[in-house]
Amino acid sequence: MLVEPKVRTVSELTQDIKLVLECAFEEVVVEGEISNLRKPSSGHNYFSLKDSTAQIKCVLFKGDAAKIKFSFADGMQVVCHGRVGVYERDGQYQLYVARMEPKGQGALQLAFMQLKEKLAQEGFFDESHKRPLPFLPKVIGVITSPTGAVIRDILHVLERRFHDAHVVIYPVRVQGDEASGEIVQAIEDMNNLKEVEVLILARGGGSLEDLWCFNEENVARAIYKSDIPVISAIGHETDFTIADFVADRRAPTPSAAAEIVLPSRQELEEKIQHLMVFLKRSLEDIVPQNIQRIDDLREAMYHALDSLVANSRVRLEGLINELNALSPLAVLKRGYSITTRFADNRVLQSACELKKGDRVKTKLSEGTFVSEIEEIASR
Amino acid sequence: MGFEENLKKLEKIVDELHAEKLSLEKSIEKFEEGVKLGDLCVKALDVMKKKIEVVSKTKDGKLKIKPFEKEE
Repeated sequence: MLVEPKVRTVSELTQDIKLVLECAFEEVVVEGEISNLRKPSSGHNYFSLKDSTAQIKCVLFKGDAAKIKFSFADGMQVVCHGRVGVYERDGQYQLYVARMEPKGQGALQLAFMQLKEKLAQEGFFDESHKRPLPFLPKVIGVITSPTGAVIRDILHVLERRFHDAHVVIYPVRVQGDEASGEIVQAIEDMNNLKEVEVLILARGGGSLEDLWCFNEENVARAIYKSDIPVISAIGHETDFTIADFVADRRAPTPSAAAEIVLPSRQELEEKIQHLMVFLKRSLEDIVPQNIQRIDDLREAMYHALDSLVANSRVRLEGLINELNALSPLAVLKRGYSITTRFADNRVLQSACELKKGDRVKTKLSEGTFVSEIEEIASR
Repeated sequence: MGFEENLKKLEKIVDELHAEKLSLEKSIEKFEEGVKLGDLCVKALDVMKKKIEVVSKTKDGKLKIKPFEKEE
């Protein structure tokens, strides 16, 4: 006897298929190329994964999509982790993707490269945007975890370099999903604090995943937007994060950031002292130089005066000789004499000026004598 | 005037004086200015007060600053 086959409704059959499929493919990893990607406003992503001969529809829900750090597009080879499910309404099986990685490289590496390229194009790493660090900041803002070695190292180095430094610490988480939001908030808040003149954004070493928040776009944008210059000090010397590229200055380690942010007080004091010594020495040089110049001038002046006097003396002697030659007394020496009327000392040139009985005075080369006129010989 | 500007000015004055191109009056004037700048620089270093503070937020989102307690 023929057994009537059981008649099932579409829903029942679909339910059975669903059960079988979903049990069999509870956890699958599948690689393929993304095609026909759609991202409607719901935030869920729909696409197909295909290879040369087959394809499977995929759904990536909003919450899972948010965890994917890199951006994906049609044509990209990816590896998806998920489960197969049945969408009853359309009678369709599809892959519900929980995790996706780019094929051949880590998701984070790719995300890093993608963001780096994007921000580079926006000019985030341009030297022209880098602000100079203040020489002696009034207040140093430090954004980091309040516990652990990093803050201790920074405070220790600051203390050593400049024991009077004023530091404001903004405690944040530096790891995990909440970290980037807290860091962004901290940078914004620090910009509103009075007198904070420089920021250190610091974290100790860790894996790429540990340091991930410093590769997030919102952190990069907050650093770029900050009015206060930012020194990044993330991980070890060999770790480079996006934050390092955007920051105005990258310090290889948190301790190095403290070295960069403050000059050593001792070095400064020595520098000032040196300058003061130089200053005094320069004046000590200048004053004696000027004194020497004065001395030189004075000597030259005396010298000039001496020769002036000597010249004058020679000239004077010449004049005196000349004068002597011209003197009437010189005539007397040759045997002439000068006769004057005794009464008025008038030099006599004519006998008519005299009459008998007048007295005259005769001056010879040596001595004078007085005589009385007895006779006027001729007129 | 900031510490750095004063220090730079002082350096400039020392250079000028060493160049020995200034008159004596000007040199003395510069020297006096240099001495003042040096004093200002030294004082500026002393003005800084050691303070380590930590930012926290009140429930209504206001920033609060209090002294930082070092964990032992």
